[in-house]
Amino acid sequence: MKVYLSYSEGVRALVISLILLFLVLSIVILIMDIIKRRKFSIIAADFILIVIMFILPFELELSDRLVRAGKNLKGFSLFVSELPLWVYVVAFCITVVYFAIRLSALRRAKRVQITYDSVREATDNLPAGICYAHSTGRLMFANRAMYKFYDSLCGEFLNDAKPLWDCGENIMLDNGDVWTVKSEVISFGDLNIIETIAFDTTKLYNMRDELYERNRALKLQQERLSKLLTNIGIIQREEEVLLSKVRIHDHFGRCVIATRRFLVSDGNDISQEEIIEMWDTAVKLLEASMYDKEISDNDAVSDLLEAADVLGCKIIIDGDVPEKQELSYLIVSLIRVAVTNAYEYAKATELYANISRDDRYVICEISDNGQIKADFIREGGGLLGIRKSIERCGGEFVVKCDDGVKLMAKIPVEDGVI
Amino acid sequence: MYNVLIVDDQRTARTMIENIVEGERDYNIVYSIENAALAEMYCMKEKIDLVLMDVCTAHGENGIDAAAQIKRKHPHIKIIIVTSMPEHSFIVKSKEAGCDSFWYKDFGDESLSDVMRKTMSGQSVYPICTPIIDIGMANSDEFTSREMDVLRGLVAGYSYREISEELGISENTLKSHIKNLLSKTGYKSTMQLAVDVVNKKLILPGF
Repeated sequence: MKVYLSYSEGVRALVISLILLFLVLSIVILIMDIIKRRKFSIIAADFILIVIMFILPFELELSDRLVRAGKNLKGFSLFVSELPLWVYVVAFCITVVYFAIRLSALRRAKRVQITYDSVREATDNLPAGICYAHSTGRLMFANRAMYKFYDSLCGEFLNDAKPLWDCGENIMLDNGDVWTVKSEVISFGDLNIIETIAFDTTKLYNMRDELYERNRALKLQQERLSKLLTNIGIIQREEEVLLSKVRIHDHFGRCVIATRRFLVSDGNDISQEEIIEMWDTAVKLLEASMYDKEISDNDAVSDLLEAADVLGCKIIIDGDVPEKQELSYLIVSLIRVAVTNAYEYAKATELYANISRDDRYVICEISDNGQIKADFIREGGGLLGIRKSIERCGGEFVVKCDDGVKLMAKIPVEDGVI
Repeated sequence: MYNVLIVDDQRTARTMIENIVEGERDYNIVYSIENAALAEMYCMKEKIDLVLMDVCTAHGENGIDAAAQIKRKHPHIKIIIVTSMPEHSFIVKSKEAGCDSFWYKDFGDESLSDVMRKTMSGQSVYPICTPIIDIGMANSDEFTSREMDVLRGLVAGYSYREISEELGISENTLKSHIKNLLSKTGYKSTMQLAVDVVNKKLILPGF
């Protein structure tokens, strides 16, 4: 078997050169691994490889020179010089594979590793501007969009971040673009870093304007619809009255036909009493139709007073019931619930409602002369409903149980109109 | 002899009902009023056996709400809801309020006298369904329950967002329902649809 020293000088020089080349590569990889702070095992493997790459050519060259000087080889020099060439070939192949794997790993690591350059590249591609600065305003980092925005805002290169913090949240630039700027303090121990993000909200701003206009149009449409529906309601009531009048007309028609039958048959087909009853009904219906007209808000109060009188609990109102329909409805409903409860639970015969007002509220205080004093009132359907209605319109409703039950409602007045 | 309370805001309609009741031997009209909210007070004063209650009464008071209140405090009183409105939800609401019977003034097959008699004998008389009304190219019974809810929101004048929040659906789903409604009725806008629905009394705003 041929050993290393039996080969020509050219082959030996090639082996030495390759080993030296891989020695250089190993040193480069070791330095990179140390810089990147890789695992200890990888660094150790690199280091062992370098040692081998360093010792091997040295020993081979030494043994070569000793042989040429006619001296005997011994120890490690003898061992390496007597190794067959295929051992070096196999070692070379293994080393090549190792370097290929390491280089591939290094390339992959470069792709996934976050570096300053990769951060800058990524942030420069963002549409939003990002800036990190010390609390003094000294710039630490800013991306391309932020430099561009700063230039549009201040007309100069970004060195000091303070103008970004003082420019307000929404800024319209000279070119009509709208930017939103937000700053936030990030603390790392004692170090405070201010993060500023600026993003282009021109489209959002324009859409908001458009949305506002659309909502306004929609609101107008709703108001129109509401008015239209109210009118339809009135027309419907009129239609119902008309329908009733048609029925009265029909009834009158039947009366006339019946009367004719009575006259023709000389009272044999239909009796005089029946005719009179029919005409009596017709007159009543005719009379009733004359009263079918719109009822004013004040009638609600009159109706309530009349019903309370029938019930046997007189309502004494001090002050004026508001004219505005919503307010009037709430006050009348409150008095109605109060009188019902006062009569039912306290056997009251009189209920006192005091209505006063100031610039912002209508205040209604209700008490009664009930015989039964309660320490506590459990609010059921009526009072609970009233409470909800009053609170829904921003009012306040209080039930006091000291020395008889007292109710107090404070209802806000819109635009000072009652 | 049954004591009767009549609640109807229209004098003519009330007089006609009074005539029908007076025509029956076993009934005695105790009160005849126009405001449903006050009905409970009259029921507290006199022993009332039967209430004939209109739905849309004076000052916008809802007869079904008043009926529910009366039923809570006086469960023995029989209540018949009497209405000329074919409003979609009235029958369901009346049942929920505990009303005993329901009678359409203009659409009923049975006379009021018959309904009163059956009600006082313990029967509950309700129409099988609401009258079918033409809304554009569609019949009212073609609308799904959800579409009726959407219509109710439109008629109340709520915005799309308010309706979707109220019904717990997304705005896109709501728009899909509206699209279906417009497709069924053939109307080009929700305004046309809402107006026709109210005009035909399928839904009444506020009730």
